[in-house]
Amino acid sequence: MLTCHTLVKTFAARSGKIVGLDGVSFELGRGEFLVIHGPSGSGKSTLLLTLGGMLRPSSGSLTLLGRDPYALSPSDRTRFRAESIGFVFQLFHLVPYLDVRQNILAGLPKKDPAEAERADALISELGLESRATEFPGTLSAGERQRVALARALVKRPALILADEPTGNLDPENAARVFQRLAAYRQAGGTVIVVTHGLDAAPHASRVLRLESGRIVPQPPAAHLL
Amino acid sequence: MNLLPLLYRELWHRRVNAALAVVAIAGTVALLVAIRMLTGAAERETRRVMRDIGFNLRILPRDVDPDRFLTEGRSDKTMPADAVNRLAAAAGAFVSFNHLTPSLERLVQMGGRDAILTGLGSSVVGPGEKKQPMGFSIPEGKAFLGSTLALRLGVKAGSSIEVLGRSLEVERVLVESGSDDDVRLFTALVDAQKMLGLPGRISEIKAIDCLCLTADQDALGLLRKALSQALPEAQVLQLRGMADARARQRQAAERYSAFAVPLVLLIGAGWVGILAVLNVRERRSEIGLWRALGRGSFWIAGLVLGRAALLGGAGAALGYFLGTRLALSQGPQLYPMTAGGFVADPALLGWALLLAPGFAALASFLPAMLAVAHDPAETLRAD
Ligand SMILES: Nc1ncnc2c1ncn2[C@@H]1O[C@H](COP(=O)(O)OP(=O)(O)OP(=O)(O)O)[C@@H](O)[C@H]1O
Ligand SMILES: [Mg+2]
Repeated sequence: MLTCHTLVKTFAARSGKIVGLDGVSFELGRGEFLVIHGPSGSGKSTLLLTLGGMLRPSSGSLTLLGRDPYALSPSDRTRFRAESIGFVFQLFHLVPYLDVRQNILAGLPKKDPAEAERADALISELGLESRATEFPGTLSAGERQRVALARALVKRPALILADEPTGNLDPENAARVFQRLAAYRQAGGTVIVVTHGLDAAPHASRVLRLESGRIVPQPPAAHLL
Repeated sequence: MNLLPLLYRELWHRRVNAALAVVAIAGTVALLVAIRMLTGAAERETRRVMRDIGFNLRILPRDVDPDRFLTEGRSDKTMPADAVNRLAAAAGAFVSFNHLTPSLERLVQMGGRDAILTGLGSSVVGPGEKKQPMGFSIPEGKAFLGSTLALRLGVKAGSSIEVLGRSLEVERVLVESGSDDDVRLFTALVDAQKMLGLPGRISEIKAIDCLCLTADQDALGLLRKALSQALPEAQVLQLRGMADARARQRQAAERYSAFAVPLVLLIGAGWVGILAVLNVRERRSEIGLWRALGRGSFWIAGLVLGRAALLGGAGAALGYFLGTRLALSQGPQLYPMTAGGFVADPALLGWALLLAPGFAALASFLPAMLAVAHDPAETLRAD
């Protein structure tokens, strides 16, 4: 499903070269739920964007669904992303001038009645019925994150990449989000979540720790935390 | 979701930025519409003044002494009547003039005192001109009488008068003009030629500037050139007067608009462009999101350019109405003689609706490139 090998990403900054990823390698099978955790600045977001075809690595190789997204032409890569990958961001990134339902449908490249139906099913499943015609500005953080989640789920991507999807949520809402992602995995999807902490670990099939751009061995008993 | 409903929703969501852009485009269009209508009016007004004060150019036999012509007011020499046709046939004659009228003029005695006898031939009109000659054409055997002269002779329209042994019927007595026309007897050219014993001769050709040249073209110079080839036996004299001043005013207006139009366009484009940049900056994370959702560069550019085009359309319609109002309210005071000529010109609306969206899109081209080049990782990393 996903293989990455010695991914390196460096940024040119005023203070010189900043290393975001320093040789990340791992493999992920279909139907896995991978949690990558690590401290702030360890390169979690950088890794997720690189895996999602949004940020070209400085070196290393990536194979996703049998293809290297960075070997594709920009428009092929764009289509590949639209069809295969769903993003969930920490800051939700909803479109402010579209209502809840339109925001969920914004994730779909083409108009498709079946997908519109699925959107409505997700709205009720995530308890957003009464909010369906509201604009993001009037929603609570938990509601916004559920909309963002629905937007990623509605197109049924092979892979969902979630960047601290619960960073702004209370534990109750956070649990709801992880449960929904776990359900998606049950239905055959593959999920990668990056977080500071280990709240998502109970749902994970695997946990990796990132520090200074490298995968490091788990501290003993990390699973028990 | 399709682009168009998305654009509408975004415009409504950011009404203030959108309204400011519409104001910029409407202001630009309004000024251009008003400038266009007012320069058109200036041209009309000049034509009208020209027509009202008569011929502004006189082509005389070469051997006429200019000093004498100016002190006496008429040419004392003659040239063949076919000179007018030769001139009309010459290339370039009608480039700058559209009416050529041959005439024969002499001082005569009527009622015991001086009067001016003017025989007018029919005007030769430029190829593109269908309009009636601007003077009047006089049938053979008829006469038009200046008011002072009619009073002196004690005659009215319908009376018969005897001049140089020829009897003419007074067709019309002209209203008082305060010029030498008041002591003038107008007849057909052939009548004057017979009365004066100068068959086939004329003393001058009068011409009217067609006002079809731009500010930097020299009407008189062009005619002189045509004249020197076709009519070497003639010279040309321009009467400076009100018409001339008007022509200068029109040329000044033309120069002014040649300067003002690009300036207005530049300011409008700058304003629209800056607003588009602000809009794109405000929407960086949204643009990053569209990327993550799998929208390509063309679609992102369409987001910015389509927005500009919609604003352009709205600004064009509003600007047309504002500009037309401005011209209709101010124009008649500026150009009182042709005030009636001020009417809304729907063709200008068509042009505005056609050009303003493209103009706004062009002004937003850089912001669009900014949006396309925006690195989504920058805003989506968002910690
Ligand atoms: N565009 C960029 N330009 C310069 N440096 C960058 C850029 N993106 C990331 N970095 C640097 O790379 C390192 C990793 O950043 P990243 O955002 O991936 O961290 P993170 O693990 O997601 O942190 P957080 O938990 O705070 O979200 C940081 O030191 C960051 O400053
Ligand atoms: Mg991060």
